[in-house]
Amino acid sequence: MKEYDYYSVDEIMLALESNQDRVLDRCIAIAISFVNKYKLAVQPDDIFQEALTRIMENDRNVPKSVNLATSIGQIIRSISYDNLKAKKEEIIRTAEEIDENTIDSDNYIYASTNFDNVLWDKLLTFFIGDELAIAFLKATENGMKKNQIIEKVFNKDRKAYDTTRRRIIRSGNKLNIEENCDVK
Amino acid sequence: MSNKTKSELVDDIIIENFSNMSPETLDNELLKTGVQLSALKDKFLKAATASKQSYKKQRLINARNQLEKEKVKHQSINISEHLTKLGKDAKGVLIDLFLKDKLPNNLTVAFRDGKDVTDHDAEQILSNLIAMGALDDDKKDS
Repeated sequence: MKEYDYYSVDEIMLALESNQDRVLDRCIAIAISFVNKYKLAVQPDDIFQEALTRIMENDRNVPKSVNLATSIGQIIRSISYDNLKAKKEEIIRTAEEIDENTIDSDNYIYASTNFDNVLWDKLLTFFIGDELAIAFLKATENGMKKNQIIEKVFNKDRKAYDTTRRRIIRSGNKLNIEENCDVK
Repeated sequence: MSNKTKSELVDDIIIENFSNMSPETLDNELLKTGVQLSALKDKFLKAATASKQSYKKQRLINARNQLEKEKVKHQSINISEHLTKLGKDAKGVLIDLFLKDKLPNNLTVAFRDGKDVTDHDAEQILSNLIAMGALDDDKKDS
């Protein structure tokens, strides 16, 4: 079984304080993106502080095999979701009249942003001719869950699913994703 | 149409993108957000320091709580009563444990010359071993 080596709290702090590999700047960019994308009322540095608190309280281990900004970014994302969920639950709670049919638990929380839609169109264009990637994107767009996609699109081949998902994620830096995306 | 899986994929792309983009592109992206980077960096560093201080404080609190627990546990051990039940003195119990190879390794060397260990020392060692959990208070080996 593979043994993971994790960052100590001091190592993480040192990397952030020295801005090693621009890790602090990258975290700033990620936090700003999520605060803007989900129109959160909190400040980017509040989310960042909460992310570090979660790491330090050992809720989250940070493996050395993964880019540090990516690991902190995932925690920032998770906190942003929590904030978004709380925000939407508050809206539901305080709304005078709610049409229950319009509220579909998770999907209501993850309602599409303009950013998502613009990026999605770019992805579909970028992967034209790549049957597997397009099938993956279409299945995702149609609301299929991970296990369904693995079974129906990848014929139960989890590795092929992971590889394709990874390819799609890595394509982001070729899409100029910020351009024309409403993240402000 | 939108859903959680789609949103997660898009967010993974955002994270991957910012984590791996070149320093020049990163500078441009940060510039585009319109924020004052140096001021924001200070805020982020302050947030990091605050988290670290809170973490250190919590560690100290945990250590103190643990110490208190150990202290209470230690105080609750009535070694005399225990020895009376066994009908042995502390040295005798330690010698038995030593012979059965049930003492922690770092203690056996020190204990080998039993003549230098007073009854009081032996009782203290036994009490400490029980408090540390190295020996079971209920099923005392004899």
